[in-house]
Amino acid sequence: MLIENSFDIDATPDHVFAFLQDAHNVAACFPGAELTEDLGGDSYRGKVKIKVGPVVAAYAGTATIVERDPVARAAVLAAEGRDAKGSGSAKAQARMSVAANGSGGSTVTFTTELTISGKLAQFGRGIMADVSNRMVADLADQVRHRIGTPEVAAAVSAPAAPAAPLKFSAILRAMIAGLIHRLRVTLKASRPQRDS
Amino acid sequence: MMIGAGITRREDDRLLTGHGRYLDDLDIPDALAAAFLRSPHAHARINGMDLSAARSAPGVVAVYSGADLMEIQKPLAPKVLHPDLVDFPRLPMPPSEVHYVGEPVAIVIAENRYLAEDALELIDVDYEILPAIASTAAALAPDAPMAHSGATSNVAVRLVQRSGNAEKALDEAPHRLSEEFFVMRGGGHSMEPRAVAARFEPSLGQVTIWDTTQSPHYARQQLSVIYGMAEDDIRVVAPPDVGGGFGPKAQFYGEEVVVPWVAMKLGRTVKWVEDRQENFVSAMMERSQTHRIEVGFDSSGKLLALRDFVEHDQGAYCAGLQVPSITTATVPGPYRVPDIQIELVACYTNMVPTSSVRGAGRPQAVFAMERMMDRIAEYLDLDPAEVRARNLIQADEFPYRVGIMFRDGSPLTYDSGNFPALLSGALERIDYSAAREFQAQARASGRYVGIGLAVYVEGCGLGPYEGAKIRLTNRGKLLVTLAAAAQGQGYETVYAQIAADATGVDMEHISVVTGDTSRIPFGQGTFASRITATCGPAVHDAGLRMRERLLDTASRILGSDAVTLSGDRVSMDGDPEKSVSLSDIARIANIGKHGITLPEGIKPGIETMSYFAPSRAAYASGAHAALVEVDPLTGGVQVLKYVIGHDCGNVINPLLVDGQVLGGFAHGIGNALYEDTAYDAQGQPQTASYLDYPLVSAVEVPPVSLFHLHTPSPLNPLGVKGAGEGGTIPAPAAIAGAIEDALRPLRARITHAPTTPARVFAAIPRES
Repeated sequence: MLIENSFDIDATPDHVFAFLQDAHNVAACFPGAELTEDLGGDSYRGKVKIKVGPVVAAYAGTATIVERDPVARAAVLAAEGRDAKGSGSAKAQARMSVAANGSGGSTVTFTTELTISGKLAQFGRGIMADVSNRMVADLADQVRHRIGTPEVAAAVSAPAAPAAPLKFSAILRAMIAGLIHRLRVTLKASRPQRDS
Repeated sequence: MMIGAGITRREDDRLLTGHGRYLDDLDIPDALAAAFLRSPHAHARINGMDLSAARSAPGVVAVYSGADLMEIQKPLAPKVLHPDLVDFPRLPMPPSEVHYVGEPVAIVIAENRYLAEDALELIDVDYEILPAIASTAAALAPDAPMAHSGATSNVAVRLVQRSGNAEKALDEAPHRLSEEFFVMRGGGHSMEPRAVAARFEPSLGQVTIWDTTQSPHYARQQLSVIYGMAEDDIRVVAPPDVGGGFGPKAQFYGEEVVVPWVAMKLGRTVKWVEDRQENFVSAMMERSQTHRIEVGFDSSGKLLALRDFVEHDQGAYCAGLQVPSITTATVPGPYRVPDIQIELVACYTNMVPTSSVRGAGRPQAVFAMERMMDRIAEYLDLDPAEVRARNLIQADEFPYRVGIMFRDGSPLTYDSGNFPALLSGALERIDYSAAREFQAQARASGRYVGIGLAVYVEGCGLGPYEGAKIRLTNRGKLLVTLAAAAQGQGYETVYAQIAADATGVDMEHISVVTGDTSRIPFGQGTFASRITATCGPAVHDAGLRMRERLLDTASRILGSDAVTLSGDRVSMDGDPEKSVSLSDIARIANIGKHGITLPEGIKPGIETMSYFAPSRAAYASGAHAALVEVDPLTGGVQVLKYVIGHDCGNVINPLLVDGQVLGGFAHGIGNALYEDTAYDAQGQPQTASYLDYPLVSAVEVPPVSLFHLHTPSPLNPLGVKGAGEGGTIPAPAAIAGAIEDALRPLRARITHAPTTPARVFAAIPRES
């Protein structure tokens, strides 16, 4: 499935892109992620833990930056992991790009082609999109916090304490927000126009 | 007469007051809980499995992988076969390769289900993921990966049905039209999921299995072969309360093999109750078919030729060719078609295997055919009701030979019916001409209203046989025993009604038990709307014989042939002073006196038994009419009026028949507008909970105007046919027809079922 997320940040595109180039920074900001080993050649071993209600998926695997384009400020990350509990696997190809947003800041866009199996996959498309939106929102908060705090940014060159995995309550909030959003769109579309 | 009386169900009292007892409610002492580990991949090789952590988890009694139970890894046989079928063995718990998400690969037995599920997470499986197939189109694509490793093709079987020369007739026809239709997957969604419990009795050498199956005798036979045990040592009991079947529970699953085997292995009682998530990914489904259909016709709209090419999604394994065979035999439906050719290709995919779900192959056939009847009308600018009327088989043409074959290889023959009366009755009740006027007015004011029609036939009451036993109990009551298992159809009521009429004993003295292989030796099961037409005549015949036995015994006791049976007493010349009760008869003929000779002429042991084997399927029929309004901006569909005309022959209990038809209609509305099982291209289920799978509730099911015709079947002495599926079969076709009719000014083409708002919206051509 294709998932698209974006967020705005109050820093120059070059600054943001440079920050996100460092895998340690990304891992430190990503909810539930942990970078365990630098394999060299832009490849890393790591873990991502996602909890949706009673279902915990703890993916362990590798991520490789397969493409970097400093001019376009874009990078492509290929990641593949297996759930440590045998209940599935995940594969993602994520394209990240940073662009000026016109008000002095940057817009970071993620386009992720995600293939997952197991119990988490069966939660369905709607929820996965809502969950990913929430995860990116958390990521954005972390990036905002760390990018503006040089010492924090510097400190994470070594594996840092991972950000807490996403809680079910947060996912539930995201789902409800997503549902309300979809409902609004539907209601808008269904407002009778034929009578006018 | 109790036959024909609309009496309320005996079952209702307990069901409505919370006293129904489903498998998980049964008191089965000291039962351990089982949980299955299921494949997260649609297609993968199992390179290894580490069970050590799970085995040492708290409360765990045993853990087995498929490889640990090689002694039961024997194929679960397909039901309906064909010599050309390329069959891949469906093993109870495959040890080396999985073929759909949800396939069981290991079982944990623990003190309770919580601990069992915790232990599941500790099992480490080394899967090698293989490419998967998630549609018939993908299965048939050139260079497609194989759904089963080592296969040379994803085709399970190709079948052809022929009558005359359809190709030539199409070439010569003045007009021809073709279209491609898709019907999506859906499930049975019984309120109670599947469940199995088993206990081995070493002193008897007998295993007792409680199973929510629709077919206890079928399950026993399969287990007898797989376990290598005599059928008498396997007792399969379908509890009297099973929360719905709808087809998926008529199939036989790996879990039904593994759970009792493990119970025997451990010498412990084991219970497994499927949870909803498991049900979504492992209970069989149905429906997904693609039809490329072409019709030839003359300028009056008369059908001259029909050719249909059907792609059928068999799923990961062939549980039998019953569904696609029913489809190919149902396409011509109630119409006279001189030349027919129906080609079928059934494909393997990496999704849950398919088998019957209420309707069983018929909704798809009716959808394709009825949509084409609408297209003929549109093409010739004729009324769609008129086009149908011109093609219907007439009431005086029965028995009618369609020209093609039934699934057992016999010529497909309709036994009886009155299709024109069904159609005209439906038109009358929907007030057809007024509905057309309403449509015209609505259009003039910018609203989109349409009318849809669908006429269908349904082969039901299938063989080979069903049986019944009636015994005079020692307490002087009649006990009717059926092999068939009930899932809410009201057997305890209906078969007491039939037995009451046949024996002459009041219904209050008659009780009915069902679905226990130890109580009656042979049976087939509840499926294909068959029980009324097979078990009904058996009960009736056993009842007539019982009446004879009762009267004979009473007349010997009373010393007169002039005896009459009333209530539970047989009296001489209607004189209550000279009478015997059923208790008296039981005391003399059944209980007897130890060591004392029976009175002269009394035959001991009052029990009668009868099996009924129909010569072929009886054909029920019906006509549906729908009036809908469509919002082209949202794709939303509102059913304004719905009429069902239904003919299932003679009716035993009209109240229950109405319940069957309306319940079936709820399923039909789901198939028409809502229920859609989605898989992604890797075979991952995308609709594995009710958040994503819109199952209809009472709110979505519109009110129905229902009427009945009663054209008796000549194939059984009661003149009955099946009633379980007629509400479902034509609903997607009628609704789709109505939607297309509503949107005709916008030139929308409705080719998919269900017609969800997104599909309706997408069907409307947009100006760029």
